[in-house]
Amino acid sequence: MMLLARASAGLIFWAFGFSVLYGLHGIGCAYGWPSTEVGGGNLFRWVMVASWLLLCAGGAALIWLAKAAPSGLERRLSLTSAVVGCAATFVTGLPVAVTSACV
Amino acid sequence: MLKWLRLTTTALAVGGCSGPLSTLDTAGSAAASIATLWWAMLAGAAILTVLVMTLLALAFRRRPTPAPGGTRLWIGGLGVAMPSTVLLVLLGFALALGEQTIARKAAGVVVVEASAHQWYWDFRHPGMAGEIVTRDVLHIPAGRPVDLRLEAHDVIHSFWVPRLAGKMDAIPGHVNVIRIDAKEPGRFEGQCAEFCGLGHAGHRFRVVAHDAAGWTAFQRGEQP
Amino acid sequence: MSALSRHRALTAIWGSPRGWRGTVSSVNHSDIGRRFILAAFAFFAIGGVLAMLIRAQLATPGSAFVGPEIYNQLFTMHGSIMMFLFAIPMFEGLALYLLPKMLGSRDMAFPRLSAYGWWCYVFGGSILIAALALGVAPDSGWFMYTPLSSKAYTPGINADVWLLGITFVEISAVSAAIEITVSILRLRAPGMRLDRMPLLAWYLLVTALMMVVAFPPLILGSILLEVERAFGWPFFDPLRGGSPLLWQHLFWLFGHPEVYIIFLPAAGVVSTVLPVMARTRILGYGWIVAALLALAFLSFGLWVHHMFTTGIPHMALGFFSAASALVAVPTALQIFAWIGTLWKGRPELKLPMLYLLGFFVIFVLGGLTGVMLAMVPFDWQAHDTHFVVAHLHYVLVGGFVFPMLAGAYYWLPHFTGRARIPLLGEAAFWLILIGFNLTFFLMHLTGLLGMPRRIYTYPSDMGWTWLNLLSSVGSFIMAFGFAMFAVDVALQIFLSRRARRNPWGAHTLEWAMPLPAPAYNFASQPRVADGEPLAADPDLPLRLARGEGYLAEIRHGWRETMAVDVTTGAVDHVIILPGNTRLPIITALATGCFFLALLFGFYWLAPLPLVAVTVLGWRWAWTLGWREEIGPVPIGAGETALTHREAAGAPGWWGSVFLLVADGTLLGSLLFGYAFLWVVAPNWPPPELIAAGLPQGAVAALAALAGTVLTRLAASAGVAGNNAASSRWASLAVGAQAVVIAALLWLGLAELPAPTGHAYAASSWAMIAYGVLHAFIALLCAAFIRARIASGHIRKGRVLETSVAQLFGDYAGLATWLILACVLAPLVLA
Ligand code: HEM
Ligand SMILES: [Cu+2]
Ligand SMILES: [Cu+2]
Repeated sequence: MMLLARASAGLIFWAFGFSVLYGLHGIGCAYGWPSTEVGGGNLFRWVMVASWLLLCAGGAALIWLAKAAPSGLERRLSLTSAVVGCAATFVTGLPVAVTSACV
Repeated sequence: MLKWLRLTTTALAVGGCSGPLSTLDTAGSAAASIATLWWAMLAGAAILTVLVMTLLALAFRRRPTPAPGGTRLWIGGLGVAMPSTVLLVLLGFALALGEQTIARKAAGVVVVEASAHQWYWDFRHPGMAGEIVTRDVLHIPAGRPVDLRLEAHDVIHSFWVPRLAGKMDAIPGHVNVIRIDAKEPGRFEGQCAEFCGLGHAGHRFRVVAHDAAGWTAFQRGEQP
Repeated sequence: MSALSRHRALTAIWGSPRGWRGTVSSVNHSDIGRRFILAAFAFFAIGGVLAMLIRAQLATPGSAFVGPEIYNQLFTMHGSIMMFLFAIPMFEGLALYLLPKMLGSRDMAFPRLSAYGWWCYVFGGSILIAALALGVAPDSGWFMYTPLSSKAYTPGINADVWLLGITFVEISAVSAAIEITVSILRLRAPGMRLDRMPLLAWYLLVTALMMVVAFPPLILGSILLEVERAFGWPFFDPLRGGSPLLWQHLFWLFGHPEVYIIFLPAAGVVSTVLPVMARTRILGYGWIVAALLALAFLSFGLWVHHMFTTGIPHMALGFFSAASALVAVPTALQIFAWIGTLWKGRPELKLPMLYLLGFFVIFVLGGLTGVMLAMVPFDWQAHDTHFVVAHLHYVLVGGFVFPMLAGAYYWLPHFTGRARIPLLGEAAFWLILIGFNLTFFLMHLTGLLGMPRRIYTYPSDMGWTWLNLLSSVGSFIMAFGFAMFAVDVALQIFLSRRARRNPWGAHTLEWAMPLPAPAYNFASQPRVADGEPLAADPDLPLRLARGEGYLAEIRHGWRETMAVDVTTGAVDHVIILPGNTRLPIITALATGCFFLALLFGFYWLAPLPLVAVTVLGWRWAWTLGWREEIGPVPIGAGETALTHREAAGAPGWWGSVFLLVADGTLLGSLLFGYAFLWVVAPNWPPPELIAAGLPQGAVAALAALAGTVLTRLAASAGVAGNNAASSRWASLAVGAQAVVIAALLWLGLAELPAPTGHAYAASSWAMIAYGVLHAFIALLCAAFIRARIASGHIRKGRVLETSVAQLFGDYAGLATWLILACVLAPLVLA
């Protein structure tokens, strides 16, 4: 079972991050964060971009952790899972930086 | 049969992309940029198809020695690196295009309220003396962005004028906004695009895009 | 013992009686698997006939063949039958039949559950077909969007048929998912490490795990919509705080993974058949497994791409558009791994390979249009047009039907023990391939020219006329092809000559047995030391038949098979499986009565079959096990192992874990719905919130905690052999769960507004109902422990039943706490 857990870790992390971003987006739009000005931008953008970057950092940390996995299939799966999780967090979160908030 | 075939091929070659509901015979800026996206994607897809099919066919030719390429080429290169690059570029392009198309705040936007019913559409336009309400015919000024605020009174419908822009659902309890524009004056066909029951096929409407004079006349209440 | 007498003895144990007795009582995986496949093919034929009617209607503009009333039923039933009654059951059948054989095992982990799933599938499917014959079939489209499918706009029984019939069928999907998962994880030949498993097993494992979490949102959605239709609880009614979008989220949260659930087993078939056709091993085994896992996860982050036009803000669409683009990468990886495999080997154009080539051509095109549709602006145009119809058929027919046809020709000798008649299959292939492309390639164009899907007619001046006619012609060519395939298969079954033992020269274990396969699969189970056991040891079949493997010895008429460690494949224990019984069919009948009572609105009658199901469920568990002391038994090669009742981590425990994962996903979806309505739905906040209820909540919470702890105490006392204490703790646990039920109901009745007034009250009540149900299940588990101690089935060292009861006790406690937190949140926050 450890093998399957390791092999899913990075991807589970992506699923978690993805839900966080989607959830924050829904809540932020419902409660009008885009119209709150904070430090040269709006609250919404700050929260979204900060969470995204944090999540990417978390994903990178997971890659580092996954290097400890034992060799063979287990290592292959843990590493790819972590790399895919981190890359997917980066790519699927990309819209927080480039698209408009709630339109 | 032969005659049919000839007819079809000529029809395809000459006027293949035109039609009252054609997404490729564009007359609005959103539809036009989406059509460009489509042609670009079609070209890309054609290249990829040819690539895959060639590789597939080559696998069947007689080879004396073991063929080249291990996981590095097939999986690392063709399987991961190639599609990732193509997809990222495409995604960036599409997101940028989407940004231009959505109903962001802009100056000079005309706002029309549309309400969808089984099976007709009511449009409430801004007039000089209050609202002007029409059924199944939407009036807009040509060359100006128009925002439609969509609501539905019974089931879900979808507002779609393929030659002008993409579609947007009208959902009971929610208000959705779609931006359209017509480059030139003219008449354009609209069709409800979300299955809405027995009358879905006939749930049609028409858009009339006026020139500046026609639009002022319409707003004054002079029905054309 | 000679090979022949062993064969006779094992057949007597594992086989089923002839005639109808065998039909109603068999639980053997080969029987059930074959039945699933045949029935799925029959449903494919029905769905195909409906497709022909659709194409006949659309062949010409303004056709008067059928009206919208009929047409709407046609496409709704076509889609629903193909997705729920053909594709999923077909793969379940394949998995049930093949998995144990490929894993070197004698049966699946829960034979009675397979049989129960089979009967639920047949009965549920029959309800839908009967409705079709009577002209009251569902007609709101296969995704049943509300409000069109709600009482106001579909007042008839049509929508109820879908909601109840499909939910009934889904029981079989969830049971198959649990069974496949546990069987792959535990029921393999000794020595088969995870990295030595045939790739198909990996594909099926991933698919089954996806099903465990994908189906609950749909089941929940169906329950909520049926409750709205039947009792007026307004989950989806915007006037009373519901939202039609909630249905769409729940549906597609299931619906998108569903298409991967359909594709992955077929891709597994490709990965199995293709290397054999190319006389080589697959390229990049580990990479493919990694790609599968990535695909499984990513596919849960795509569902909103079916909702790009519902007014969700562009940023959120961007998340899902990006995920949809990403999911193409692991798919592309597999495509190129397969092509690389062909390059590596020496491919031969045998019939299965021909179908695989058809698969490549069609599926690649479907994948490319899929990427196009994942781009938000393009989808705004193409969504709900015939472009999407073309895309989905390129993916489903290309990605499922073609590989399955390849698989059919590949494994038919295994089913029938006979060889194919030449040429007919090739002719069928070309008809299907040409007909398919003619039908659906043109639909891309009709779609781009603006033809919406689900319209029963169209005017002649749209520019769609010729395209539609040609599409219809193509569909009839394709239908001919499928008919020819059916004839070919029938001829092979009834007329053809016998096949050699391993006609393709394959190296996986399903070919290490005589053909057609005996009921027990292997006279003795192999010890596996390589990913392709027959390549390493061509004499293996003979040695297994001679009894040189595990469990060659026959004792007590038991159905025995080995359980191994999940990762290493080391011998763990011996599983003794239940034999033939009518319990599954009877339980399925009782379940069916429940659904029929709801369908016809006899709500007062519905509790009766529920009681019956409960009693039967009790009996189901009760008939297992034994009182005697057994201890370690010899398994061959001088080794011994415990039986599953005495070993930790028996299949029953694992099955319960995955059942609870599914159940937890259902609860998660319910909580998501509650939060979603709160944030997004119109007409919130509700007119009336919960105003008091902390005392009842406190009682329920404490009793739930007590129930959990007491069940745990009863379990550990039971395993320790302390019967008196265990029995006492179990009684107390029963009492505690009863208190939970009472407190929850009291909380609802005394403090919550009526569920019909507002979606807030309705969802709070739904949570309460969930809590009550699970407390009741935990109560039954505790009572069962008590009874089994009294009867002497639970004794020192028997961990299985107590550990399962403990799982359900823990889960009920956790669920009650979560629910209380959500129900009481408005009170605490106010
Ligand atoms: C055998 C050849 C088939 C033909 C000729 C065919 C034809 C069609 C057509 C014309 C439609 C569109 C109806 C409309 O929108 O008005 C349709 C819808 C659909 N088909 Fe097929 N189909 C075939 C096989 C399949 C298979 C194998 C599957 C799935 C495994 C499938 C799944 C669906 C689904 C899910 C829909 C959508 C139904 C809806 O809109 O509610 N079809 N089919
Ligand atoms: Cu409509
Ligand atoms: Cu999807």
